[in-house]
Amino acid sequence: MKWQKWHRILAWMAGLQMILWLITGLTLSLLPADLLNDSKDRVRSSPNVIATPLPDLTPLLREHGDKLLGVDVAHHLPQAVYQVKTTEGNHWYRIKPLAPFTPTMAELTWVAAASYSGSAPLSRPELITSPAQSISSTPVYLVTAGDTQIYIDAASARVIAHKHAGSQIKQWLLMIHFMDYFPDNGLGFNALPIQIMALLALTIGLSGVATLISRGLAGTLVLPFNLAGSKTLEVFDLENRPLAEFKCRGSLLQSINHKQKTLTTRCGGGGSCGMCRLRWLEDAPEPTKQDRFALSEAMLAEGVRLGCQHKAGNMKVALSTPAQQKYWQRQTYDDTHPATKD
Amino acid sequence: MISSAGTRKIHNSLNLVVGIQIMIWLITGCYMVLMDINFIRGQHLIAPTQTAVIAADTVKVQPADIQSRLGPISSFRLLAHPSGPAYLVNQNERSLLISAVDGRTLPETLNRNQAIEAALARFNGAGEPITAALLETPPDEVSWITPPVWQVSFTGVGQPRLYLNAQTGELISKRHDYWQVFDLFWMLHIMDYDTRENIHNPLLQIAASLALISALSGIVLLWVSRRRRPL
Ligand code: FES
Repeated sequence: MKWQKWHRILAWMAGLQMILWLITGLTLSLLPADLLNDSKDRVRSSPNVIATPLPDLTPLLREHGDKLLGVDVAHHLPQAVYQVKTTEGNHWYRIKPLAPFTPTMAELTWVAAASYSGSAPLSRPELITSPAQSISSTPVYLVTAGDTQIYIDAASARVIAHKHAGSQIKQWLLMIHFMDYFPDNGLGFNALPIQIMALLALTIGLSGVATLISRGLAGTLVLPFNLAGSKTLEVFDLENRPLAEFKCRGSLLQSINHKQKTLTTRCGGGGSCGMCRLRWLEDAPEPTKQDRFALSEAMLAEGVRLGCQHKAGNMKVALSTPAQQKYWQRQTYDDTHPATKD
Repeated sequence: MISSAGTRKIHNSLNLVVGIQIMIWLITGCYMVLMDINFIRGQHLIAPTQTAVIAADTVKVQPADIQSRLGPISSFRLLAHPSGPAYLVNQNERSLLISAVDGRTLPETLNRNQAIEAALARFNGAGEPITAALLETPPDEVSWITPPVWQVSFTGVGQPRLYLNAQTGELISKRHDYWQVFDLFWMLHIMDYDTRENIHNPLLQIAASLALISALSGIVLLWVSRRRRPL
């Protein structure tokens, strides 16, 4: 039963986080996909025919000569622009006339409007020089429309992202799920806290499986559907007078409490409260680890064992404490205890 | 109120029902958090900066020459091609590759040697190329790529594979065996065995709800079992 002990210790350490994983995972799954979709009101531009005659590339080739990776014609603005890719980054040029590109307020508003399918009015673009790392590492413009925030790259005037209330909910849920409580440079799930917790949780799972298997093999697994066997358990009071007989199903505790709870328990058969102790009137079984932990040597020598840790069979056991007997009498007083009515 | 024995019955029974899925979540979750996502994405396979620089003085053909030759075009790009700088032009859904050196139309697909050369120019790993295949049907790991695509495989940890645009030799994607395991585990984690991307599926919702009840009943059991109280 050492597995069960480890299962409990580890559950104290990582149980709360496991519940947080389940709650956040379930919430993410249950929330409407549209609510969590950052791009729900985003329109993506598709390339149209390049109407403008494209200027000579020679000045750009000369300027970026030994670092040039490529030149692209970008279509995200009312007028196409050149995107020059170099080993040092991107540079943007107006095509007519060929000149370095800096977006105007009108162009930024046009880009925001073209990317937005909603009907709310758009705010004036506002420059954010140091945005959240999760948005961009370079300056951006922010345009708001209703609860939608449209982030536009300040250098290229390209839309980087749409965000709204749902994005924030998603961010919080993922933050808790990934245990990344300071997601400065975007959410990640490779941080040390979640790695430790994941390993602990895996050990909880493995010890739980081992507990289920070992208790199943021992015949003491607590389940709602333990079937009655053919064997009969006889229970006696403190003075060894017969109290009742029960059909065997699982442990002694389960067999006795199947129809009505007459044997006290606080842990419900987990082997930790010690309240289900019974005295074997003949052939006491070998004590389990739980028995040894919960009961004194003298008790063990008298044939006292935990009723939840032993499989019921044709056996005779007696209550072992006055408190048990009082509880039993209170539960069966003025009542027709089912006894052998299985 | 449910008794502690009833709570234990709920905890054990639910674990018999969803125990396997809970273990799958734990195992797949462990893999995903322990494996560096940048490694899974194959960032280590690619040189941080692209080195195929265009020799500016070799560009003799200008965009206006192409426009006057072809008429209206919908996209236009100058890029470094294995056979020298070239323009990739889109016209009526058709991609044309035109040499920026002499204006001739270049073949629609790179040959094997050019594909390997282009892959080696981007590859940052320690392995050697072992196979290069021009694929008309991309494998599942890159099913989103529009074919044809060159797949160049290398020796090394996880059998790295680079996928290159068959026409330009540009890198489209990189994959290795650990990525495939990650992808499989992600599918098992979100229980979407079809598209592998829908987290809003009823199977996941039912399993997570049952697992949550099981975990909450476990916490109740922890609490009631926290201390031995002698009679
Ligand atoms: S019921 Fe708690 S130890 Fe047996």
